Parts: sequence; structure tokens; C-alpha cells
Amino acid sequence: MLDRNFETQSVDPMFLEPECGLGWYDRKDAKLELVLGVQSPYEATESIAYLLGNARAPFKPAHINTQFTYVGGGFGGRDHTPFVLYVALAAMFFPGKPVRLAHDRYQQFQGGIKRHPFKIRSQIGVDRVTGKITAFAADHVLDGGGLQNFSPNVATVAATAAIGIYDVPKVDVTTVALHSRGVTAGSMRGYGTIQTMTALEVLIDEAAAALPLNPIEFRRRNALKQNGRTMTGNPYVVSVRTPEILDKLEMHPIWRQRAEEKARLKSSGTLVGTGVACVTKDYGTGADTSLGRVELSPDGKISIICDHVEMGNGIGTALANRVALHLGGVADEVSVARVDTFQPLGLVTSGDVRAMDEKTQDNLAKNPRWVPEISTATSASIGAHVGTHAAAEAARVIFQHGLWPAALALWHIPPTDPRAKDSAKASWKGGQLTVAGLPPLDLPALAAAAYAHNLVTGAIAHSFCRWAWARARFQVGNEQHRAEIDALAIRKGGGAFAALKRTSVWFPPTDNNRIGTAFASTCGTLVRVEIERASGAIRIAKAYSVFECGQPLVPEVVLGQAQGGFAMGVGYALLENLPPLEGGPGNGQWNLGQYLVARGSDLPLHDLEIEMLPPLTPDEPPKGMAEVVMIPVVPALLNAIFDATGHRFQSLPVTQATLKGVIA
Amino acid sequence: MTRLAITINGRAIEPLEVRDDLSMNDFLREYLGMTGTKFGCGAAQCLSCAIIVDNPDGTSYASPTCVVPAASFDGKAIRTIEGHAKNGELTALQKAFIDHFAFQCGYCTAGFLNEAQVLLERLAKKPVARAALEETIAEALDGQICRCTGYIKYHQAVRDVILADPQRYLA
Amino acid sequence: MLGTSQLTGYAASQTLSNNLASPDSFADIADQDARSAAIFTELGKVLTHPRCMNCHPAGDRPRQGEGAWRRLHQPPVARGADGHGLEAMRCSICHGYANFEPGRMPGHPEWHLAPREMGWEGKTLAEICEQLRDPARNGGRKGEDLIHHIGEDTLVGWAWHPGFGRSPVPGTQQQAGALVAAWVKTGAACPAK
Repeated sequence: MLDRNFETQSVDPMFLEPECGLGWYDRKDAKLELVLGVQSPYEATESIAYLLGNARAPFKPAHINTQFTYVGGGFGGRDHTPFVLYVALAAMFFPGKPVRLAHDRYQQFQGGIKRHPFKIRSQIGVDRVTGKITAFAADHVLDGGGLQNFSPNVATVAATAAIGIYDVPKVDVTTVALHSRGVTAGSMRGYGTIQTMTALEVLIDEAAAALPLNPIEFRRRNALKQNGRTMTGNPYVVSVRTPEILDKLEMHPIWRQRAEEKARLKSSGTLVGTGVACVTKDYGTGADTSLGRVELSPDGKISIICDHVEMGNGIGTALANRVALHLGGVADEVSVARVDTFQPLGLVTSGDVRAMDEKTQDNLAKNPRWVPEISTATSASIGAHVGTHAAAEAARVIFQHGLWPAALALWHIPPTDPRAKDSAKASWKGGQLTVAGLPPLDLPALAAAAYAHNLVTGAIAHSFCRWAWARARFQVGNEQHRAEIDALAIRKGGGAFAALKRTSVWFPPTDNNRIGTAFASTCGTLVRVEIERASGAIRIAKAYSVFECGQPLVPEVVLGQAQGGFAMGVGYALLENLPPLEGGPGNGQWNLGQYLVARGSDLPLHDLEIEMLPPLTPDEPPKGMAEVVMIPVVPALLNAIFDATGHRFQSLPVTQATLKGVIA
Repeated sequence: MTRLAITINGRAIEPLEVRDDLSMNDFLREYLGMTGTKFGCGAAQCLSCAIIVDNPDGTSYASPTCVVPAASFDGKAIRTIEGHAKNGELTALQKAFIDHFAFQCGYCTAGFLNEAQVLLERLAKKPVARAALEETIAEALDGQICRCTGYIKYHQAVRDVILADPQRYLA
Repeated sequence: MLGTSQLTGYAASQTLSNNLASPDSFADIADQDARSAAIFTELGKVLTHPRCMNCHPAGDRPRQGEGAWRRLHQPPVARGADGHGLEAMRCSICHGYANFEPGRMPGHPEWHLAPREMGWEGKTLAEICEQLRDPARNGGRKGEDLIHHIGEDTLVGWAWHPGFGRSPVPGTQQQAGALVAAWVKTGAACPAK
């Protein structure tokens, strides 16, 4: 049995573009115009409307028009940020003048959302004979700072990740977020799980050493299986590929050569260590939405509009690629962070999506325009599986009821012909729709035919996910369209969009709100470190991260996320630290000279190997992975440092000064 | 107030008087509306604000603009990110950045392009051995901070531009 | 808005600053060697101040800041072949001809690192003293040259007007020059440690 305390530090998302916004309030027509950069456009609009909704004249606008931009990085720090409220207020208090509110970096450090510092106490019990974890308990205390922001959610998500990849029969976890005088903490990549799983993977390593048992074998024996019950009692509904990840780690040269590498530099002034960690990170929040509007022009140009946000996550490319699967071509125009052009759907929402009971939901669902939530934030690694979902479904509608009948017309295949039902046999090759035995048709020809025959040339869709996608049926012409969406509008030929009434709908049960998480992806990391005895300087000599993410919509983007996540993990483990209270960033004196993020010279630029497992099946949907790739880096480094120095650190960061202190 | 006469991307800007406490970054972004040059930290730590300064002797260097007064650029010739592509034709570096998916949010990218362009021009005058290439690139780019990418693909893109033209860049 | 934070920075600098004693105040030390060493010890307040030490490092990287916040220079820069930085990061790229307060950036036309042999980091006052009076390690300087360097060189002079958030060296450059002159005149003796 081990009983340990672990502490993590306050850090800053440190996106390169400081927060800024534009505002203009015209008193004459009481119109407030705003330009903002956030991860949650709809929520920002709602918050500002709420802020000013009960204001007294002359501080209450009659109209608020908000436009949203690309942003220079987010990482959670631009989700639910109070900054936009100050932009709105500044505009209201300077009517008739254009207002720009912009943080410099000192101010961004001072006022920007931070990651929660954690104090964690963990206990783990392991059966020495079987090597199986028998019980786990943990108490988490988070410092939420001055504003509540997302603290309750971070505390919850952190707790549900407390046993990581493992199957533990008895678990008892408490989690509390405290209000303090400190800087406000909220969403940041990892969302509490990087704190709890760092503590966990360090503890696991110590338990393995105490048994003793090979650390990877120890993980293997205790890994949760495909249909195993997670901490909150439910199984994951997506693939669980921990055994493959662990096998990859164990077979890798970094792991296999650890003893000889240590021995090789033994007599020099360098300490060598190897560390491993494996984690699983949930993606999705349990109440996520997607909006997508896809249109085809008469000459086959594709345009996509989506409510998700581009912050370096590559959502635009992912949207184009996923839509291309249905329409055979890469979009010519992709517009993101849009919440304005989905009016044809006529969506309404009400109630608390996370708290309502089933009866309430059933009643509300009777209104064909009601959805549990209209538009949610680009966060929780949902860009791939949620952000692109509605656009993909809209594209599917266009294919099914636009391009496919257009193809049949061009092939002179009447609707009575059995081949008319074979749309599933068609595939896109080199921009052409191909069916065995028929001449291939290119997209511009199909688009022209779709317009000529007044077929569907545009679709707008909305989707909702509560650990399962809402499903509905819509009558499109004389066909019934069933899809994982809950609202649909279509356009025929050059006509206007009109909403289709859903003939039936299934929303995921409200009981799903009990589930901690049903979606997760797994990542394991190996690192080899070399520590210079005299100075405590640490060098990451080699590293390997292996993960799975279902169908990668844009493999290059996924690779970039893994590389960037690695760098951020290094910073969090070894470099970044914001002292609390008066000595910290709240004093307005902090900049990148004091707050060290990873530079190229801190990273193994030529020795970082990233491996992405291929999807389990050809049709495995995409999974969120942008957070999971950051997490195991941190405990892997701590475990490597223990292997090199014999010292097991129980707090972050482990800086050069700290290392020098324990080696001496 | 100081008189500022400067050539930007080959065009001489009409001389004007600027305050001595005006940073070059503010001059470019606020006065000239040339927002391709970014503001990341204001403390010469991240170099998102870097532009290229062309010396009369034919050498060039990448300079931050956030901590340098606009007035000190009087009489100088500079290149900003807006001046890289000509008539819509991207430079080899720009194409390589796109092909490699080297950037993510793009905020640090102008700085990287300027610093890397200076490196290429320096190597064209003083080539390095192939064996020293990775280290040379690493040293040249270590001043740039990126929070999204982890740097790897930036370095690969620059390296590949150089390797595609070894006669010019390698000894 | 720099207002409040500027005040905070300035307050911090005031607590470290104080005066330098004049050479006369050591007149009551009868023994010339002892008096000389005492004068050098007073001069030591200048030499070991962060404004000087930060650019007289033992290795190839300068430091910046002071007190609890003293650290290796960020961004990570190094001496280079000539003490003026590596190819892509020359000192003068950021450090201009003069301090630029809006950027909190210190500057001087000759901004660079002291040569390795003039590194004082980690040395005792006695060791610095030996180093300072050794022509092999002080750039071939004789007494007069030292008086000029410390008392009149403008890069050294920057240390008394370092700009935002940096505490200046105690006293004035003239007072420091007077101490050097008095030290040289009394035989340039070194303290015991």
C-alpha cells in the first residue's frame, strides 16, 4: 500500500496572441458591434447578452452583432474567458467611439485564465502475489482562484480520470475546487486529468518498483479491458486499445535498451534514465453540438460553414477532408467560428442540458425545432469527432439526395432500376464518382445536373452528442433520411434553404449525464533523459509517443498536435511555474523572460518519434486526441528522472535548480 | 519627435515625424496597418514581431520590433512578411511551410519566415557543411517561441528547402 | 498602462540603491594596505552589483535580473566569437543605442559580454581584486586605464541609469571612479577574502 501526496503548479496557456477585441456601440440605433476571438462563440454571445440584458438605458443595446475571428492559439484559455465581457463594457461606456481592448503580455499573464494547481493525496493497494491493484483512493483539492469559471467541471473531469487506464475494483475519490485570492483558473489542455494522471502514473511506477514488477507488465495486468466498467460504472463505447499501446511501448528500443544506455554513460558526469507512462483521456463533454452548412455551386465548388473555431487545430482542413469523403472534392471555401448563418434551421433550446430528466426532455423534444443545446465550445478535443460531424452529415444529405440522383440521371438509370439503391457501392476516385461498369462522373458535371434537375444542392445540419449522437428522420422528397442529426434544412437547385420537420427523433437518454465519460483515446510515452551531474541540466535524448485516434481526418495535423503536445508537456514538467499570490502573475510583472516555455533547444527535435495506430476498422470514427498526447509526457519525464537519480519527485515543475539540489 | 524615412519591402515610405517612444511594432501595425508582423510578448522573448533589416553591405538580420523604437529605423531598408510573396507567388520557404504543415495557429509564423529567410541568405553567402546543418538551423531559430507546433516541422521545412538546393546552401 | 507597475518596479530598485563612501571616509585607517583594501571592498559594491555581474559571467551566457529573480538571460543568448552574440542573435539586435523604456529594454552602443577572463561570477572579492589588477586578465590595463574604464566608460556608466525595473549601482560613476583612483593611489591592495 502506498500513500503519497502530489502537488502541481499554476501555469498559463501562453497562447502567442494576447487576448483582444473590438467594439463599437451606436447609441442612435442601440446597436453593439463586436469582433472577438474565443473558443466558444455562441457562449460568448450569450454571456454578453446576459450581461447587458437587464441593464438600464443607455447601457442596454437593442441589438448585439458579434463576429468571430481565427485566434492565435487557445488551449482552453479562450474558452469561457471573461475578457469578452470587458470588451462589451468598454464599447458601451464609449458610445460612438471605436474601442479596441488589447492585453499586452504582462496583462495577459495577469488576467488570463490559468490551469488549476492541484494538491493530491493518493492511496493505492496492490496484491503482491497477483500484481493487481485492489483499491485506490484520492482526494483532490484545486485552487480555482477568484472566479468560479470552469472549476466544478475541471474538478469532476480530473476525478473521473484518477484511475487512468486501470481497472480497479474499489475506488474512492473526492474532488473539491476552492475559491481563493489567486488568479482565476479554468479550462486548459488536459482539464484536470493531466494533474491527476501525472500523480497516478508516478504512483504506478513506484508501486511497480515496490513489488517488483516490470512497469509495463504491471500496467498490462491492470489495464481496463474493452467492456470493462470505468470509475463511474459505464464501459467506454469506443475502442479501448491499451494492450496494443503497451505492447508498442515495451517493444520500442528506448525501453529495451534502457539498461545498456544507463551503463554506457555510467562513469561520465551524466545520469541516464528511462521513463514510461500510459494514459487515457476522455474527449467530449457529454453535451456537445455541431453545426454545419455545406453548399455546392453549379460548377461544383464546395463551401462549408461551421461554428467551431480555428485556433491552430486545423478544423478548416479537417472539415474539408471529411466533407470530401462524401462530395469527392476539397472545399473551395471554409468559414469557421460562425454562429450566424444557421437561421433556416430555426433552432430553439431550453432547460439545463446536463440536469434535465427524461420526461422533461421527451416533452421538449416534441417541438421539432427544439434541441438540447444550440452551439458549444471548441474544446475537450472535440474538433475531429464533433466539429466536423454536422458538416459531414450535411454533405451526406447532398450526396444522397443531390449528387446520387444526379448521377443516376446522367447514367440514364431510372429509379425503378435496382442499381438506383446502390449508392453505397459508389466511391470517389480522383474527383470522380465511380461505380463498377458505369462511366465515372466528375463533380462539376454532377453539380450541374443537380441544379438542372432541381435536386438537393445544399444542406444545413445540427447534431447533439451526449455520449451518443442524437438521431432523427427527415422526409426528403419521397425518401426518408435517417441520420445522426437532430435538425436539417435543405436547398434545391438555386432555391432558398427551408427546414425539414423531423418526423421522429431520439435524443441520448438524460441518464447519460451520470456517465463520467464514454469516449476516450489512449497514448503512451517513453523518454530517455540525460542529466548533467554538475549542473542538474536535463536533456531529453530520445522520446516516443504512440497513440490511437480512430480515423485521422488530417494525419499531418494529428502529427503536429502530438509534437506540440509533447512540447507543452515538457514545459509543464520541467519549466513552467507561476508562484501563487503576490509573487505571481497577478502582480503584472510577468513575461516570457520569467515564465519559460519550451524552446527548440529544450526538445529532442530529431529524436521524437510519434506513432499513430491505424484505425481499428476502416469505418472507425475519428477520436479526439489533442489533449491525450500531452499528458503521458509529464509522468514519463518524472519516472525517467527517478530512474536516473533515484529521486522520485512529488511536485511540478522539476527544474534544473531542483535537480541540482537533489543530485548534489 | 524624430524624422523617420524608411524603405519597406522595396517601397520608400513618405517620411514622417514619429514620437521617440513609439515602438517599431506599433508603427508597422497601428500607423501603417501592416498587421502581418505580430505582437506576442513585447519583451523580445518570442520574436513573433521580427522583421528583416537589410544592411547596405548586403547582409541582413532579423530584428524584433517590439523593443526597438521606430525612430531607430530611420534610413533603413526592411522587409516584412507582406513582402515575401511576389505577385502571389510564394517563396520556397512559404511553400515548404505549407507542404510540411509546419505552422498551426500561424501567429509565430511571420517571425519564423523572416528568421529562416535571413538564414537562407546567410548560407548562400557562407555555406555550411551538411553535418552542421541541423545545428545551424537550430541555433538560428532558437530565438523564436512557438506554443502550438513543438518546432519540429518548422525545422524540417527549413532543412528541406536547403537540401533541395545543396549547391547554393551547403559547402 | 505602465503607471502602477512602473511604480512598483521603481520602488524595488530604490531599496537596493544606496550611496558609495568617498575615499576620504577611509582616511582614519592608518595602514596603507589595509586602507587600500578597504577602499576596494567599498568598490566591491559596484563590481558585484547585478548590473555589472550579469555581463561578467563565468561562462558564455549572460544573466539578467536581480535578487530572487536573477536568472540566465532569456531568450537564451550566448557569447559568440566576439562577445557580441551568435550569428542569429547579436546583442545589438535587441539592445539598441539607449534604453527604450516602453520595451523595458536596456541599451548602449557597445552592448556585449566582458571577455571570459574578466568573468567575476562565483568569485570572492579577493579573487576579483587579483583579477582586476592583473594585466594578463584585465585587458592589459594599467591603473590609469582602470580609473578611466570604471570612472568614465559609458557602457560601465549605463549601470547607474539602467532603466525600468532594474536597480542602479550604488552611488554615481564619479564616486566609483574616485574610489578606483584612490585604490590605485594607495597601492591597489586586495582584501583578504
